[in-house]
Amino acid sequence: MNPQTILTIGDLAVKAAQLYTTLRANHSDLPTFEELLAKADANFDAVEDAAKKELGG
Amino acid sequence: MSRRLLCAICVICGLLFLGFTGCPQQDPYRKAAVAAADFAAALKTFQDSEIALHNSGSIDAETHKAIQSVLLDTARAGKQLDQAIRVAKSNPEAWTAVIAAVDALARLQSDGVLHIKNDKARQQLAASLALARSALGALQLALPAKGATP
Repeated sequence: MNPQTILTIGDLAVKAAQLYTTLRANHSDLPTFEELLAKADANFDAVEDAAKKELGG
Repeated sequence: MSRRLLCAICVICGLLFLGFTGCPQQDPYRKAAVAAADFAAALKTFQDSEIALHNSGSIDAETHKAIQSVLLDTARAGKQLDQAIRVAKSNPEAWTAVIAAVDALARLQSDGVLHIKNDKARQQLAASLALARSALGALQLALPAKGATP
């Protein structure tokens, strides 16, 4: 393998690693499974409370 | 391009693919949790709009109470759904409880009392109801086939 090919492969590997790191970091910003369900519960609770109030109960 | 370079590119792409197979978006429980959160948010938006329309006189008292009654049942069923998703994550055998909860929610939505006489009010609520239905559809898509576990 000539030195230019090795350099190209190395460059590609570095770029792939950077892309991977960026994408993983973006995914870590997403809410967790529990956070999502807690958010859903909070909204369902709010709907329930408001509905009870509107129904006069 | 040399064969070795092509091989190297394939290996790198393969590693990237393997790295993302464990991505949280692929997890059916997470997909169900995302859809449940979206559904709950859309339901709240729908309720807020309906209350505002009732307060402005666009929805009569009888229809308003009927809608709020359906929303009360839907919110309770929604909390049961959240709990079923939690249980299913630790025990995949319980996934059928999630399917049952989604079926109950779908029935509530289809049987929902939406006989609003005022055209403008009905149109204003249509968008938020469509969002809720869309989230429920996403929830149904996240579920495995009946009788199967993810």
